[in-house]
Amino acid sequence: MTTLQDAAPPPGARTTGSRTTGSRASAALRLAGRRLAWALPLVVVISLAVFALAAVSPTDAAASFLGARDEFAGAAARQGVEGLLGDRHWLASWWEWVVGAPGGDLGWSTSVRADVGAVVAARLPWTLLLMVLGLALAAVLGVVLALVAALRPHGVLARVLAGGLWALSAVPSFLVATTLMAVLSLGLGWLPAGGLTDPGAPVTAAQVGRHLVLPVLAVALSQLPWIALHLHRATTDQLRTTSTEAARLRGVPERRVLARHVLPGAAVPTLAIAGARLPEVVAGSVLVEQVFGWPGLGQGLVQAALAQDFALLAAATVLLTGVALLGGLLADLALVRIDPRTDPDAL
Amino acid sequence: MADTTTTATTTAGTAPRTGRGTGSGSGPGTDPHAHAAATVRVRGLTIAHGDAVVLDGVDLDLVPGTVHAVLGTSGAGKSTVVAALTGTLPRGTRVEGSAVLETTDGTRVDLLGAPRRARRRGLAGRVVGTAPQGAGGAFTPTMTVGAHLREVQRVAGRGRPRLGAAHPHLGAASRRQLVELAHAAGAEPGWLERYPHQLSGGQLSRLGLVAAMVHHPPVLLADEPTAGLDAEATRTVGALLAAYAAAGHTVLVITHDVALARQTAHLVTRVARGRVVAQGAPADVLVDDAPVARPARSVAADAPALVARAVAAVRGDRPVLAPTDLAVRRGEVVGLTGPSGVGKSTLAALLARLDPPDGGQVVLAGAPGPERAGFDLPPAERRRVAWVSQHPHLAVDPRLPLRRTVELPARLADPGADVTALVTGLAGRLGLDPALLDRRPHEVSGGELQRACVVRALALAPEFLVLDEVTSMLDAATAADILDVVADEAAAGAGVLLVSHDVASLRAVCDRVLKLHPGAGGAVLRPLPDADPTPLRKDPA
Amino acid sequence: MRSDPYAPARPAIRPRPVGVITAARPRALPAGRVVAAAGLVVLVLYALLVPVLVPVDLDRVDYATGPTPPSLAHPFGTDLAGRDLLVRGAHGLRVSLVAALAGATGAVVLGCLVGAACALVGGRLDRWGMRVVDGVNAVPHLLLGIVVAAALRGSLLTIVLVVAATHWTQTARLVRAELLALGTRDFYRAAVSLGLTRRQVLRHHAAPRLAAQLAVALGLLVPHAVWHESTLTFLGLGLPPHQPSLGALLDLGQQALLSGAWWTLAAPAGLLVAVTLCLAGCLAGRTEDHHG
Repeated sequence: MTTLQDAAPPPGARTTGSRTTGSRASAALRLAGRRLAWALPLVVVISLAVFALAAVSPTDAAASFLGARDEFAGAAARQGVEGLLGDRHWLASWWEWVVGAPGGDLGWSTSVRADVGAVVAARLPWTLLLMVLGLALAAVLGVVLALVAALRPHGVLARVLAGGLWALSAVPSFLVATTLMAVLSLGLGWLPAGGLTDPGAPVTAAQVGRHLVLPVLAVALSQLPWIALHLHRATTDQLRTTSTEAARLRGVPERRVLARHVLPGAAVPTLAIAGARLPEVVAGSVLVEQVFGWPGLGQGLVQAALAQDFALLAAATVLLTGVALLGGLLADLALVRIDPRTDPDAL
Repeated sequence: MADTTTTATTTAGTAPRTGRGTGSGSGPGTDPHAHAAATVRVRGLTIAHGDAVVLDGVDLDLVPGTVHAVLGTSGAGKSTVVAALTGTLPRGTRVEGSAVLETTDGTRVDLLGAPRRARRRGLAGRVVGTAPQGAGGAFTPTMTVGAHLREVQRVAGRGRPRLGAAHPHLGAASRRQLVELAHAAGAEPGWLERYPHQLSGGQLSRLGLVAAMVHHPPVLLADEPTAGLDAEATRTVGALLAAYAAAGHTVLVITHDVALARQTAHLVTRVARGRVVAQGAPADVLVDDAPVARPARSVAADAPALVARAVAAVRGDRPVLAPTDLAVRRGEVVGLTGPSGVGKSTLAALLARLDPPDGGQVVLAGAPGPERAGFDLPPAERRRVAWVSQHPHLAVDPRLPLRRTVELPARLADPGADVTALVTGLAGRLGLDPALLDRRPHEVSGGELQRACVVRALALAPEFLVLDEVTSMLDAATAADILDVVADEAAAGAGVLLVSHDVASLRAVCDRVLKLHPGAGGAVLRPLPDADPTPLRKDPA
Repeated sequence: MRSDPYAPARPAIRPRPVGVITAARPRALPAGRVVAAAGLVVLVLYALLVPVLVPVDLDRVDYATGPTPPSLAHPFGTDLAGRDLLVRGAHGLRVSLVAALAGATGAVVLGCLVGAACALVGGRLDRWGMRVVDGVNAVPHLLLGIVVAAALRGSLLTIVLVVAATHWTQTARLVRAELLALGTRDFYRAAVSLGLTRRQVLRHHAAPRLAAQLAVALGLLVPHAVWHESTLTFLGLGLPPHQPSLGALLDLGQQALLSGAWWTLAAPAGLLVAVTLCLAGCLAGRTEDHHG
């Protein structure tokens, strides 16, 4: 193999490289298609891994299904349960799961004692609501803080922010959530400590809204450090570039310089790492849901893991991974939209 | 693409309607509403940053219709002039002296004292156009070049300019005006629809100047407009600056490129260590700088040579280098130039036997066995040809102190030799303080690091030197030191291949210069024809 | 196109736009690094010495004293079962650090093996290896951990396995990239023309470089592994309650919150954050130095 040193393409390649919007859009579509094509085998492998792990698990599925009743169940009842759970090879169980999955039949959840499809359908929207609102809040806060800190690099606020965010980045999201709960709910009593609504109250927008504040805040605060720190760094770099300086020297008003020259450029590196960060966002929201008893997929996942409910565990793992992949795809599409230098075919 | 071409044709047809000053060479005064002219007088400009005096008592006169070039090596403080005039000096900088801009209608502005806000609203872009250093980076990558220009046009829409130096075009913000302006600068209309990364450095430099000229500011400041450009692009940019001055504007060019100053300037100010060392017409000031051509050495045709026979290179499916013959004989310096990205480095790496060619062979007299490259060659054989990279920072191990980096290969080659004395001697020849060798790469400058890299290569006493753009990132003093040593090595019997985009310095050092031309089947090597030294400037009426 | 990137390293006299000369960057200064290293030493000594100096029976509970707030006798307070949190915290830190160190080491070793195999064998193995790396990276690590821990149930070995199995990918990429760069990076190419043999390049350049990078990778993985252990244990999937890791203490602390005993949460939380910050602070800026 010949290794070639010249990094720059020849002049001809540079100029003919100009893409029309049409070919760029179709390249973005190709990107989406490629990601989907890649997600399918990944889903297969993940589900396979969950079922295989379930098979090697040393604990007894029937015992965990029966729970406390295990001691009192007779041998016949026990056999009935084992028959219900299916004492088959794990590959066969997995195959049944895969075949049923496209039709919505994801199996029977032993922990919730309901159809997995129904459990997932009821829980996924709450997870998405929490994640989207939390990330949106984190993004807005991040942009504001990054801009303030970058424009006044020697200000007290910038120093406090840099140090505070750095420290916050070391706090796991379940600690953020617990601390928020301890202070705002248990300490000051401003907001409810958990759940979707007050006990027994109907699911209304007002109820959910009040219960949503703390979880969203927890997700936002645990994601804020990386967003704000990366944006701050990128904004600082962008403010120093010749292009920003040149725009100012051409007489472009400062607000426009920030909006058109600084922020898009600063968003590019942040978006580029967002794709890699989204799995952690998902993980963080799992923890937040668990702390606040938010009836989302993450909480279901933890419950399923504790109860060794592998049908629900497989479905939740696959779906949450899918959410992370979809988020990564959206981040990359935004990158393609903002930065003309990114080649969708190379992402 | 089709519709932009049409637009260009129609605008060319209707062009005379407006004062198309930049390219036509119409002098000042042909149109009473044409561009307001302005003079800038700088007196005793002294700038200090901490204890370091960057500029010391500089006087400059910028006169309409002329190009004034401030010339100096990097670090001489010349860019600080532009920063002072545009108010972009770092905080905590002390400024003394005066810089007064006076337009023909009698408005006077103190450029050093103007508050930031007034500068942004009244001066920037309208009275003083500035193309900052690194013109290639003057455009934000997320916007098309046209969007940048339209944005500047819109600036005029907000509030009247505070100083009466407006151009009659103002307010008539139209694509047509931009296309005309770009056309005058030798830019195709299609370029405006592109993003910066789709344009070459030369194209961006021109467009960067166009962006500074949208409002036809009477004063244009261009900071290193040709940095990093090849000779052809440099000449185009020079022509644009000369034409803008010829239209009655005042142009200040900051440059380290003597050739550019010679071609475009009416007045040259030489700056060294913050002081003006010479000021006057280019013919007077630049007289010492004419490249002194070394007498061509005569090398016997049968001298031992490093010979490439029909070597070719392919990257993926694309041919980079068409089958090429090239011979470097011992005792001669061969120059290799060509536009950036054409494959100069590829050819150099092939000749240095770092990479195996995709066709043909590289032969070195006395080399045993079949032709090989890279680690497949025996170490002693590899040491016969030294290769020095364009990027000194990438060519050294960042963890090691320089002394170890420099001495290690020689020690491994000959464990018994007194490498320290050898290296100290070589460092002296290259003007490198041996004390610097105890630092790590990131603690010395790029120039010092490149000198160290050359020391490392010469410590092995190679028969041939392949130097890949070794001077392109360096200031003039370092480049001259390195080229001197290269010439000495050639005189002592080494064969040298010198790769550079700087044709002038190649001509000064080399016995013959070859140029790589891009071609459909890969780059093609041809001898370089003689230079065309005609000046681009028009003398003011 | 670039302005002179090799401008002399003199004091900053080149003009820059006002106000953006030295922006505060979120990276620790050398002084900060010293503080972080000192903090780390204190924490490790605390984890090692306190359990030795204050020998208490961890299983002995005393519900009579109940939770007491921090006092001179119990600087961190006591938990619901009346156990001293200073001692419990030291035990917890010890367990968490051991689990994290073992997990991070496992991850680095596994990453080295995979990365080296991909780079040296190349071809199909390399392609598939990198596909696996992408796949592992695409799945949230915590989810993988939850699934594995659900099946194998909590034990120290499970935690170590989980951390190693989910975090080897960065190291694999690093090792692979460094080995592949042997042919292309300028300073390896310079070594070719300077007559170094492959072995000499490995010994004098690649190996020390790689070792330094791996040390940094390991250092960065340890706080992450601490985080993983405590998270899994907090969820009830990690270490069993008789091994008082930081995560177990946090879990108990959260349950105790409702009774107002905030210090039962604050003590392990403070330790967790302190150890993460100290480890990260020691390594701040190291990554840039070595990627040169």
